[in-house]
Amino acid sequence: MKNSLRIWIGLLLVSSMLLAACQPAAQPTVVQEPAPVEGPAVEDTAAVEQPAAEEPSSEIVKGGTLIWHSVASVQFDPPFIVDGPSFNVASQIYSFLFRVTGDGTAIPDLAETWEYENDNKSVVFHLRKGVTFHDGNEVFAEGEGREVVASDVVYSLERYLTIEGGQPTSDLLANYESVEAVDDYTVRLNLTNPDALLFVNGRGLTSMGVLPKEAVEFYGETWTMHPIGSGPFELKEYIPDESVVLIPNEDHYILPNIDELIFKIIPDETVAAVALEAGEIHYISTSSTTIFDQFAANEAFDARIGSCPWNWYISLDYNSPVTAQFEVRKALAHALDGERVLKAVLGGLYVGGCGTAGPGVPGYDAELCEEYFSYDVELAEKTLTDADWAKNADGIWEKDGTPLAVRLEIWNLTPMPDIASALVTQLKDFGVDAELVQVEFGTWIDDFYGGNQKELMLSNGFCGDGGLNALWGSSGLFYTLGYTNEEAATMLDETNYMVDQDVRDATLREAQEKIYQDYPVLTLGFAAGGEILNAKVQDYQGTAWFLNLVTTANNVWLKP
Amino acid sequence: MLNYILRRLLLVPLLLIGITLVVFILIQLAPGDPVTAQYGLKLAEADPVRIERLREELGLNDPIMVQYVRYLGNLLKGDFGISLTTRTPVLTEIAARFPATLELTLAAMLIVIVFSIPLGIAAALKRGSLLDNGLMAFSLFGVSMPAFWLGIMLILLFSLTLGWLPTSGRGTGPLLDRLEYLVLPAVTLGFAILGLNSRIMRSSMIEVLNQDYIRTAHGKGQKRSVVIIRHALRNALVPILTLLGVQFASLLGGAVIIEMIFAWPGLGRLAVNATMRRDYPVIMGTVLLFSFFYLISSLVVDIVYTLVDPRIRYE
Amino acid sequence: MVSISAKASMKVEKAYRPTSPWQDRWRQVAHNRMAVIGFILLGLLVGIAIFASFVAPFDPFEMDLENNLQPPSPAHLLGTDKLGRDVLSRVIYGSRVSLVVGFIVQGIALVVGVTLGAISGYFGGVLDMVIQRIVDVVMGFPFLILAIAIVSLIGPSLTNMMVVLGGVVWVDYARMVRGVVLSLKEEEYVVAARVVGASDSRIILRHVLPGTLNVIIVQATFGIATAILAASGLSFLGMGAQPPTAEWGAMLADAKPYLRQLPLMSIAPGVAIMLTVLSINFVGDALRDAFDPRVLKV
Repeated sequence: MKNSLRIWIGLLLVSSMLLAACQPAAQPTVVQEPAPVEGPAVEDTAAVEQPAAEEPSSEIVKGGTLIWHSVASVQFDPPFIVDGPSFNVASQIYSFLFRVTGDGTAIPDLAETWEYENDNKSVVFHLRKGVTFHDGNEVFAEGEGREVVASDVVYSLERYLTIEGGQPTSDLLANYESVEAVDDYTVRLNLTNPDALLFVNGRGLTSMGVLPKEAVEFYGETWTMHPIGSGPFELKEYIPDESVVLIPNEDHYILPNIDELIFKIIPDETVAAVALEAGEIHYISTSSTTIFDQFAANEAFDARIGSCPWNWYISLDYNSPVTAQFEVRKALAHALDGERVLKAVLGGLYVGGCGTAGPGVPGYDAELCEEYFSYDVELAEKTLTDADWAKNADGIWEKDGTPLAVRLEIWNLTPMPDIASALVTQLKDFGVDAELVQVEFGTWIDDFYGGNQKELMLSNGFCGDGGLNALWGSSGLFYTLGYTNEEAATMLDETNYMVDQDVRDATLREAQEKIYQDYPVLTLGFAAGGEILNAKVQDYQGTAWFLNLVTTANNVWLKP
Repeated sequence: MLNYILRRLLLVPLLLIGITLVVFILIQLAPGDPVTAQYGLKLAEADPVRIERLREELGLNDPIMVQYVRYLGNLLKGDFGISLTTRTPVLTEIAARFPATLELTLAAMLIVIVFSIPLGIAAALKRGSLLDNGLMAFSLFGVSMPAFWLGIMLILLFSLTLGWLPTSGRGTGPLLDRLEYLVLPAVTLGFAILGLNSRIMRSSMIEVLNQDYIRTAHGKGQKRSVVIIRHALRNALVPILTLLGVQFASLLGGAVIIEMIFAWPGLGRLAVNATMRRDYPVIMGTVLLFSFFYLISSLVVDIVYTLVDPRIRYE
Repeated sequence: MVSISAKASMKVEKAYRPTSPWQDRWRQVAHNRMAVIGFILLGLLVGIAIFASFVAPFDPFEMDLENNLQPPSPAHLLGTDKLGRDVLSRVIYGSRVSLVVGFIVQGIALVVGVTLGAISGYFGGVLDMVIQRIVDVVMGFPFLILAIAIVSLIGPSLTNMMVVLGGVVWVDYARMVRGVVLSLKEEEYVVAARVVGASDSRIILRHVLPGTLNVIIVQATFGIATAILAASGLSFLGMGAQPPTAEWGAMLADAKPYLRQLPLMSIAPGVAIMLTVLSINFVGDALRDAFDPRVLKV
């Protein structure tokens, strides 16, 4: 008797949990009133499209606190920043010679104009006058921010390239010859070869923030905790792993419309989505199609597909006897239906395409998928049987007594496990003895770059320009991993110096085809991230590398 | 007794060396090193010459024992090193996050102690009643739910639907202003332990109540409450105390998942991120801190044993 | 409460019945309704685990990409997951992995931990010092750092995960048992046994250990659930069961992004874990009652 009470109470508790769970669960199409939101919500914002410039419509309202989302902790010293979250913050604190918009256009920042000289081997930047470093701190007293001049650019660039442990962009590092301050407002950068990537997001000069020498020297070891720049925002407070609080730089040549900018660090994507919905933050970026669809259907939010899709592909171990055989690679390429898998897992965030250069990027080849990576099981089987492979009693392909066995290695980044599970199932259905191996990030990196590759490794990366060279150029990654294609590599190297975009585009495409017809990797397709904003945020134009909140092209503001 | 305490204290540095050595070796043996982990996916673009030079600089090519001894040497000089990922001194990184971790742990422990001990005792005294069964069912819940699941459910209920509490973060300003941020993470953290502790308190209490000397006391005619407090409680508390002491120390280092879900800026996240990035100085720093706390709390618990149950002796 | 005299007379009566203590215990258990339910439930779970291939409507690995993330329907009683796999089938197959992990981890930990804890508490002295310091060292490791390091080293797999968990969990038993043994050691009946000249092992086994059964059983029953959940936590961090293995903990972790849209995806494995814990709990309670020498058997 006494113990049966337990069961009833247990049931009661279970049902109350179910109630709690069912309550907030919404069908994706129901519009939800976001909880603590002041004033009338809702705007007629575009839903799922390429980021379009907001019409300079109603009156701009100044003030308010904009709360952005950061998925990880950040650091502030430009030569060491390679991750998005850190650069989002750096974009606000520092001035750069120029900024690049989401669609790849270089717009002025510290440099008002620039021109090429000397056969495109030199670039001369003309600096804006009256830009000052942040004041009101331990280095520059209130009202005494020093003006940014050419020698600051020289100092910053040299430090960027030479500091120990720094990670400057490779194309800049490879081509750098010297930099000089011609006068207080003119900087001349001399390169050994023309650099086609100088103004490309994430390459060239796009990570070089301008720093004041006296601040770096003043703080020494703790400089990383007290960044001082000349950008539109100053650092007010940094609580490691929690938030970064920025306030407008009163002396910036464009005064920010908002009163305060906060980056909230929330590592868990699901919780960040809840915070967005509850109105606690104004922005998240997501790679989950579920979250994306949820907000796309909600008028109080503005969901956009990111502008820089990155590619998903399977890299191969060139030292493995299995993958060394051309027919195996070709067969696997046709036995995998990358499009179907990516569509199922990534939904609307999947944009198609094959190769290393994605849609909209120089070198993009719209026919590559059809020609070399079409999903064609019969063709795959024929490729193998033509090379004397046959299925054994277990239904596994076998040749000379050796069955076709591969391992697919991933790390636990969502959605890798889902994509890989599906791919492994497809391989098994085709008759390959495939096994999924999930490791943690450090191990994966070590295996990938250290030549300990399993037969197959699922990888993603490279959005935008420069990927082809980084992977397949003569100093590219796969070169060091053991894949050689001299002809293509030379072609790619040359494109680094081409300034005529059409010629460069065609050459890249040709080189890419030469590479992919060899099946050195199995390309699956491109997918973008999703950006979701609270509809109150106005004049935001997307992020490819720079988080452009206050620039010559836009100045975000909040509708009340 | 004093001898015993002294001996234990003297062992602490030795044990710390043992623990840190094992961790150091394990991390070094694991594939990957801080350089590759740091570059991450951008390794493809890096200059291999610079990478090698960086490795040399950081002493990563030296044999493991040499590196460890070097670390120890620096440690004795008070130099905990700098983080290889953020280039900030390790002590600064730890100091920035320690208060947050301490806060969360203490809050969770408070919740656990305040609820589990009285509940366990009450359930034992009223064995078979509604309270007893309710408690048991409730404790089963606590143990059957993974922290991240409970955490997100609580966030959905209290932050999104009801709007009473913030979803995540720690807030800024003095503690009293920030209490609302502390509630959900502390409750989630304490919940699973609450169940276990209540049950152990209950079992242990039942165990003791059935002892002869309790019945003797009853027989002597002493009031029930006196019997409980004077005789039963002290002995019943022994297993619980062990558990609490141990739980405190492990909570200090093990609230990682709660910290990730609630974006709580604590040491757990720092330690796990550092481990994934093979950031040795930070890993060692946090391990030292956690182990030190554990060793001290273990000693304290053992001492409390003797106070609670005078029959217990150490040689 | 039954009056003392009635209890005494009943006890005297029982003393004259020629049954063995084992039969007594069995009857004890059989009369405890909850224990029976617990056994049945546990048996059911184990049965499902063994005969999963007959019970489950679908292959747990069978994908239906175009029908992913579906709410419950007649075909898929609990809906489908991200890759279109049937959730119900995965929960059923998941019982295998989770039960094995739970029992084996706790089993090893229990044997090692109780032994070392009892020795440590009973003999004291140097032995105690050494064992306890080893316990300290193991407990002093921050678990996750250790887990990440070891898993990176020996590779990710279910077996390795069990090794890591078992190697860490035994200390819970050791400390707990030691604590109880320290007090029990001074009990009259133990002292009496020693005076009479009983060997140490007999004393430990017959007199001391049964007193620790209470806490051991509670720890074990909770421990099995904890082991399953630890697996879930490790899966959350990417170090647990390898995908696409159907394991309750991993399923919970995988269902996290869909907690709002498809709560059933996580409730199903959650309830499965709860039922497992419940049944083990009832069985454990009954066992404890049956083996405890000092609970009045009426």
